[in-house]
Amino acid sequence: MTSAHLNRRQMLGTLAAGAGLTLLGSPNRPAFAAAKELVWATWDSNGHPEYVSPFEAKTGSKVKLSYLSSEDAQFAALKTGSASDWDIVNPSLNGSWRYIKAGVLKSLDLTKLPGTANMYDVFKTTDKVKDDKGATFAIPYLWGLNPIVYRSDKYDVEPTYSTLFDPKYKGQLAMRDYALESISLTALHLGIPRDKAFTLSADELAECKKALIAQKPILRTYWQTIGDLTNLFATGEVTCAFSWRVPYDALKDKMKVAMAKPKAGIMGWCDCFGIPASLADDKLDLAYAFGNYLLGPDYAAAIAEIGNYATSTNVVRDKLTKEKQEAIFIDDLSIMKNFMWPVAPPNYSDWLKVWNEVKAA
Amino acid sequence: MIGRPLFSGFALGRTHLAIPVALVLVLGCIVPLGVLVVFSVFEVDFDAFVLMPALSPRAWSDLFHTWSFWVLIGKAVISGAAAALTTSILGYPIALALASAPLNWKGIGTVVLLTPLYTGEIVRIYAWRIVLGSEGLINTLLLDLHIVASPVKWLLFTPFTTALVLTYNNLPYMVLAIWVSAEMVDKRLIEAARDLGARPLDAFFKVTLPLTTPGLAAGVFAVFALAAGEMLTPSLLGGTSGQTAMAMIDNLFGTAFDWPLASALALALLAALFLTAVALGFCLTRFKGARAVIGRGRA
Amino acid sequence: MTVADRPSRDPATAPLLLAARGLKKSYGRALAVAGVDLDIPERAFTTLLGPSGCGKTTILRMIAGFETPDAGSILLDSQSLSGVPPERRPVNTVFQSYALFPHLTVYDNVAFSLRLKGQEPNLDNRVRRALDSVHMGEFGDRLPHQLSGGQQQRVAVARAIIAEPRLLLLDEPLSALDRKMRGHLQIELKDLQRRLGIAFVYVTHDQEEAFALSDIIVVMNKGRIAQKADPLTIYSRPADTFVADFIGGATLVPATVIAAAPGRATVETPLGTIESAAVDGLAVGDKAALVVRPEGIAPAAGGAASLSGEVTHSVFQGERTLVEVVVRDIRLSLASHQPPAVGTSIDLVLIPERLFVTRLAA
Repeated sequence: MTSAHLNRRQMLGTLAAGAGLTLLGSPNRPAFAAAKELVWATWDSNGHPEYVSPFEAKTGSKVKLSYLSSEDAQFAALKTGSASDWDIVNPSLNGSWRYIKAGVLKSLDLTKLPGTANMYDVFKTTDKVKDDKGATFAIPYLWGLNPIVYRSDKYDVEPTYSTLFDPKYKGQLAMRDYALESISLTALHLGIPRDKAFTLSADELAECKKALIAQKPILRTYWQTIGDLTNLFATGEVTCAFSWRVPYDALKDKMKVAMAKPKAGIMGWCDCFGIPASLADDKLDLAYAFGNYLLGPDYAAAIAEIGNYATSTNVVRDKLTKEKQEAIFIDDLSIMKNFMWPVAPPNYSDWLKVWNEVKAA
Repeated sequence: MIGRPLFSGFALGRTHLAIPVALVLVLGCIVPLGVLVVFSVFEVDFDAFVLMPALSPRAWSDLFHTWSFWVLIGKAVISGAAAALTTSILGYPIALALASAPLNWKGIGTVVLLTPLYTGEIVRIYAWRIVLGSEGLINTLLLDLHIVASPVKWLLFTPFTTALVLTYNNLPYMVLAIWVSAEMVDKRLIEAARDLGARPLDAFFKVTLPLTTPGLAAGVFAVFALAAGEMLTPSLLGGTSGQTAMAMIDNLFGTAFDWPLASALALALLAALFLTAVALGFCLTRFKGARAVIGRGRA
Repeated sequence: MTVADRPSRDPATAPLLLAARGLKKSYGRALAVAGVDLDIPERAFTTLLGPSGCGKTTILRMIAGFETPDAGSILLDSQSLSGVPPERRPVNTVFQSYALFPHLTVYDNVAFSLRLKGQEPNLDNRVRRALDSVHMGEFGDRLPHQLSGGQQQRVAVARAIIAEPRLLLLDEPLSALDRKMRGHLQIELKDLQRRLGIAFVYVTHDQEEAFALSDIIVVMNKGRIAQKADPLTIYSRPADTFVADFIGGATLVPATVIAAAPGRATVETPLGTIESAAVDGLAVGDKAALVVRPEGIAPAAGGAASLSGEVTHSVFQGERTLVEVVVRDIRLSLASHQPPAVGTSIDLVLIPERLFVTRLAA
C-alpha cells in the first residue's frame, strides 16, 4: 500500500505552505514545469515510447509511461488514492461504469476534445462512458477483436465457438480463465443471441455451466495471460483457442495460424482514456491535448504500423494499405455491426460463482 | 524471576530481547489477521465500490453455502500435505548423502540444490512445459524410441504435473532442513546401531529418523505452507484442474471487489492449514523419542 | 548354561578365536595399519596399546566391520569376515564416547539388539540381567543425558554384552572419565570379563590401564605391532626402545653390544660394562639400549659402589620416594625409603638381574 505516499506535487504544496520554503523544494525547476510533464497509466502495448514522441516534440512536454498490471489494480489504485501521480488513465470501455460510479474520473469537456468528431459511430454513440445524467467521463481511443486463433493446417473449415466444445479436438483446445468471456461465448455456442449473451437468466447460466463442465475433459488447459497462450500455440499444445490477436502476430511467420471471426458474434475490446478526478487544474490543458493526440493521426499511424491496432477514429484509415487495413480489421467496416462489447452482467457475482464451480468441478 | 531485583535498571535482559520478536509477531501476524476478521463482517456497496463498516454475516454465510470454496480449501490442504510427503521421501536420501559427503562435495551439493531457487518461477514453469509438453523432451524421446505411438498427454496440464512441480520446487527446503538436522547426528550412533545388529534400513528408522525429526518437522511445515499457498504453478501447469484457493481469494479481492468474502475465505483457508499443520506436528512428535530430542535441544 | 558360568582359563592355552593376517589400511596417503598379524584367544582380555595414530583403533574398526582392510584377512572362528556387514558379525563394540542412543531410555538402549532379532520371549529378563550386571538395574527409565559419564559407560557395556557376542571390542571406553571413576570401572570391567568369559579386545593409550586389565598386551607403533606379550614380559623384557619408552619409568642408556648369546648380552655403556638379559638376535657391534628401571638400581651398601651421582629431584610417593640422580649426564630414577637431600651426592650399584638390553626401535 502506498496510500500514505506523498507525490511530488503534494510535497511542493506542503512546502509552499511552509513559510517560503518553496525555494528549497524546486531549486532548478521553473514553477510551470509541473504542467509540462504528463504521467500516462496504460498497457505497455498501448504506450510504447515511440507512440508518444511526436506529442512530446510538438508540445515540448514529457510523457512518462506507467504500465498497468491489471485493470483491477488500476481501479484499486484510483479508488484508494495510491495513484495520485497519474494524469491520464486507461479504463476499458466495458469497465468504465465502475470508475464513473466510484467517482474517480473527471467529467470531460467535449469542446476541448475536437478529435472526437472523427470517431467511428459505434464509439461516438456509446453511452457506456456516460453517467446517468449524460456527462462523459472517458473516451474510447483504441480497439480490437478477440478472435479465435487456430492452426490452419489442422482445421479444414474455419472454427466457430462450437469447435471449442467438439470432442473431436480433445486435448488441443484452450479457453481463457475469465468468467465473462468464457461464459458468454458458451451462451453463443448454445444458440443464445449475442444481444442476450451478457444478460443470462439463472436457467441459461445453469445451461452454460453444464456445457462448460462437459467441456473440461476435452480442454488442454485454461490460459492465464496472452504470453501463456502464445507459448501454448508455439509448443504445439493447443491448436485452437478463444484468443487475442497476439499469438497470431507472434507466430504467423513460424507456423500456419489464422484468425476466425465467428458469425455468432465477435467479442471486441476497447480502451478509453480518462482523467483522474484529483488532477490539478494546471495540468488539465496538457491532459486534453494528449487526449486529442490519442484521437489524432500520429498515434493512429504509429500504433497501426507497429502494434497492429486500430484507433477509434478514421483519420488514417484511407492512408493505410489494404493489407494493413485487413490486419487491423478496418478493411470492411461492416464488422462494426457484429461487435459484442462485453459488459459486466448485473448478476456478475453469480457468473463468477458458476465459473469457479466449473473450475472446481 | 525469583531473586531478581524488581527494578532491573537499563540492563538488557531476556525480556527485553523478546520485545522485537513480540513486535514482529503483532505487526506481521496479529494485525493482518485482525484486519481480515474485521473486513469479513463488513458490507460492500457494489454500486459505489465502497467497503462499509458493518456487522454482517453475509460473507460467512456465502462461504459456508458455496461448496466450491470447500473443495478449493481441501485441495490446498491435500496438495500441501502431498508435497510435504513426497519431498520428505525424496529429501531424506539426498540430505543424508550430503551430510556424509566430504566437505567440498557439500559445497557443490549446496549450489546444485539452491540453483532452482534462484531461477524465476515463470522461467521454471515454461521450462517444465518444454520438458513435459506434447512436443517436449520426454515425449520426443519416447516417440523416437518407439516406446509410445502418440504423445503422452497426461505429463502436462494434469494434477500429476502440479504434484511433480510442487515437489521439485519445494525439495530444496526439505533437503536443507533435514540436512542441517542430519549433520548434528553423531555418525557413531549409526555405527552403534549397525554393530548391534541393525541393517542399514533398520538403523535409518530406529536412529536417524527419530534424531532428525526436528529437521523433518521444519521441512514439513515449510513445504506444506509453501505448496498449499502456491498459485502460479497449478494455474499454469495444472491444466483445467489448476484452480486454487489462493487464486480464488485473489479473484474475490480484485475482480469481484468482494473483500468481505475474500477475507472470510482467506481466514477459512488459514484455519484449515493451521489445523493440518498442528495435526502434522502432533504426528511427528509421535515418533518414538522424538520429543526427547526436541525437548532438550542438542549441544 | 551361559558362557558366564565358564571359568577363565590360561589364555596361552585357550583356543584361537580370531586370526588376522596381513592387515593393511591407509587413508589417502597416510598408512594407518601397515601389515599386522594378530591372534586373539578365546576368553582372554587382550589390549591394543599405543599412542594415538598407531593404528589400534583402525584394527578394532576393521574387526567390527566399520572399515574394510585394503589387504589381509580376518577369520573369526575360522570363518572369514570379509564382506560380512557389521550387523552380521558376532562382535559388539563399546564406543569411546559410548554412542548411546539419546532418544531411547537406558532400557531401550540395552534392549536394542534383542528387539532387532524379533520375538524374544526372555527380553525383559535378559535386559534386567544385563543392567544388573553393570549395577544399573535402577536406571532403566532414564534417558542417557540424565546419567553421569560412568553410568553411561556401564549402559554402553550392558548394551554390548546382552547379545552375548563372541568378541567384545572396547574403544578407549574409560578415557572420558576421571581418574577415580576409571580405577573403579577397571575393576568392574575385569570382573565382568572373567564372569562372562567373553574375549575382550580393549584399545587404550594408557599403559597403567593396560597393565591393570590385560592378559595380553599388544603394543603398537606406526601401524605395526611392536610387541605382543603378557604384561610382565612387556614390562621386564620390552622388545625395543619404543616399547620400553612407551611403558615409561625406565631410563634408556645408550649401549654397544660387545658380546651376545641367545637371551643375553654384554654391553658397553656410559655406566660401565654390563652383562644382563637381552632380546634375541643382537650381534656384536650393534647399537642397543640398556633399560634401567628404579628397581634395577639401588643405593650402594658399604664399599660396593660402582657409580656416584648427584640427587637432582625427589618426588614423594607415600611409602617410598622416587629420587632422580644424574650419573655421568644420565638421569636415573631409584626408589628409596630414606631419600637423600636434593643436591647431595649418592653412591649407587646396578642390579644386573633387573636390567635388560633391548634393540633400538626402527
